[in-house]
Amino acid sequence: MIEALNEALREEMERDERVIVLGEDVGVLGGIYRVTKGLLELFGPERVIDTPISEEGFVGASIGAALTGLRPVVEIMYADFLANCMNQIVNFASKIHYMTAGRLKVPIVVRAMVGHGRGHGGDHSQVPMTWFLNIPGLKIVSPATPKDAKGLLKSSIRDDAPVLFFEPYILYRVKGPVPEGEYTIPLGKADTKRKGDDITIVAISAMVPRALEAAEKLSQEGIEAEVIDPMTISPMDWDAIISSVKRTNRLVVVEYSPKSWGVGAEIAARVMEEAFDYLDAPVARVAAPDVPIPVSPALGKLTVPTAEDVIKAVKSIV
Amino acid sequence: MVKEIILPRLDIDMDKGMVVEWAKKEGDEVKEGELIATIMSEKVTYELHSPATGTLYKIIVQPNVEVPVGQIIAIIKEPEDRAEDLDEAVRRAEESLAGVVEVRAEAKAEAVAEAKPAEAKVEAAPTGRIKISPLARRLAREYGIDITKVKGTGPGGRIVKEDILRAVEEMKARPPPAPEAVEVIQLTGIRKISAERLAQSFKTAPHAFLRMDVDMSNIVRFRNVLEKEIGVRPSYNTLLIKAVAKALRKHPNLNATLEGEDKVRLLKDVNICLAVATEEGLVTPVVHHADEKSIAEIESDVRRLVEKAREGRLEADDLKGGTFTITNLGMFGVDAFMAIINPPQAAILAVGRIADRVVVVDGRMEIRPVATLTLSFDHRIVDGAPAAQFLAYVKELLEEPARLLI
Repeated sequence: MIEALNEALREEMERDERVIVLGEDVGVLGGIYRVTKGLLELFGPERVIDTPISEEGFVGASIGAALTGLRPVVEIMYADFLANCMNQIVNFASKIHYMTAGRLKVPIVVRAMVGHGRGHGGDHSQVPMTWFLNIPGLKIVSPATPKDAKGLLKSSIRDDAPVLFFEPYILYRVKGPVPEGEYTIPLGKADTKRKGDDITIVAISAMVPRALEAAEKLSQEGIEAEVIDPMTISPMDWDAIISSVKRTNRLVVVEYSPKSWGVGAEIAARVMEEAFDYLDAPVARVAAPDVPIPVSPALGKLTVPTAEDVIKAVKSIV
Repeated sequence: MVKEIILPRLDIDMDKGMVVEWAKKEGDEVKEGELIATIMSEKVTYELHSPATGTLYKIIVQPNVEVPVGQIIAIIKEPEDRAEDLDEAVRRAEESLAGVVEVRAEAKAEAVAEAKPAEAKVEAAPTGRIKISPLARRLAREYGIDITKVKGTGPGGRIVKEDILRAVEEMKARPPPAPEAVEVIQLTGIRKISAERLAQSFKTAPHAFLRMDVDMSNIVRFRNVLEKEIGVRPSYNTLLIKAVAKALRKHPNLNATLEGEDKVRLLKDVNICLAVATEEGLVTPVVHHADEKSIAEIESDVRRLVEKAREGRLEADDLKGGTFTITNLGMFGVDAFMAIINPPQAAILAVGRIADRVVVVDGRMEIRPVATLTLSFDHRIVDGAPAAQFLAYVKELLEEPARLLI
């Protein structure tokens, strides 16, 4: 996935000279996980900028640059550090387009790596997309495959709205086919990763491969699960979820943010509003427990939902 | 005087109630105004006090047995009461109770019988609430499945989609229960014949219908005039027969029958059948040569035939040779109706009741006695226009009944 992301950045910078990259260690080092590797050499220090350790400062600078017409791609490293620049994102990036009656746009992409699942500790393991999910004006995207990562990042860069792009660390090293040549994947459209008639599983971000693994195992027991990857969490592709649930009559939502007030809660509520009479069982949620993530790898592991957890949830309502 | 205690009406819409508890035993002494029992309706509980001083002679109604208001529930013995009067009072009270309780027992047996299949299938939740998924509830509504009779197989006994779909399959497989008959009546005799003939008539003769209102003011007066002349007041049926017979003379194409498929036979005689309801079924005795008879003669025929019909003494000749039928349901309050032609005749006239209705006369509203005539005719034999002319002529004759005398 790292390579796919790198390709997306390189292609977009080639395609559009307004695209710039900035963040901690994105230049000389090429990013701590090498997502921005080689960009400095190709595009020079004016477009690939190493910043001080000051998220509020360089995100604010990116917003300013975006207002002048550039299309900055900012790297936040651990998504936990979004807390440091939340004010810039929530009170400026998401509002300026609206507050200037559409005259100004903030076409920035904030890339943030979700470290959960690697024993990086409570302040380097959060999955904070839910922090931003009730901020209208932001788009929130998270890929689960290399192909999606590339296509979605390209679309995010081209989108005129501010986009938070969450990259799951546990999928960074995952290999997968990426189409040759130019392609994009539209924001706001879900991808049905597996067809099935017995239950719908909506899996968010790094939970997609685990949901697919669960679906394969369930299939051996005669339960055919449909796995939907929304890819864009906001705005959510409600049509895809509602129409699938109307067919399967059952729903499990899998995420790795804490369960309370999470993505699953919103999806469950929406399905009850729009498809209550189609539900044959209560909506089940699989999520991280409501605890700070322990630094101990053994304990930390317990806080990331597994395929087995998904299977258990499916069986509880089928 | 034996004192009977009845179940009183405790509130306005109470029609039954029960004794909750007797405060006294049989043989206990009671004083007037002393608490003797607690009773209840569906809404309230009430303390019942003794209406007399004496002994509680007999408890008729045991606690928790529901009885109607007014039921004697106990007998009080006053010192001067005679034993035979007391026993007679007890006997009557127990007799009236027996009727009530027996009915209840039957009702209960029915209720049990009805509930049984359900009991066998329902796994009642302890709270009495039915656990069912929203989808299953919606499907049950769409398919008309009674969810109280469906066993849930989901978690915790929840009724799920599958359970409803299974119930739908079972419902389809089961033939709908036929409405239960109270009694099976074998069609015999007149009933059987008329069933066959009416079915044949309605299937083969294309019926068409014409309807006209007739102002009966004059015919009402005319009857009174005739009464002075002939001693009896002729029935409306007599006058209808007279009018129809006269009209058939003028419009012979309704006094006809179909021969084969391509011949209409216009009949020489005008013989009018009158439909008469009897306990054995519908009969249609005939007034022969009605066109040649005076009103007095027709009246005498009608009386004779109706009486014979009611007594089941009609002879073959009384029933033969009819060429047209009149049927009158006015006496049952019917305003208008469409009759089935009496085969092989060409038409039948259905007569409704004479009722005061508002009619417009010379641009003003007036209240007149009006009857509605409905002519059913076999469209193979006669067309609408001549049938309408016939009906209009009948109407004219009834509205100007003096013409019946000519």
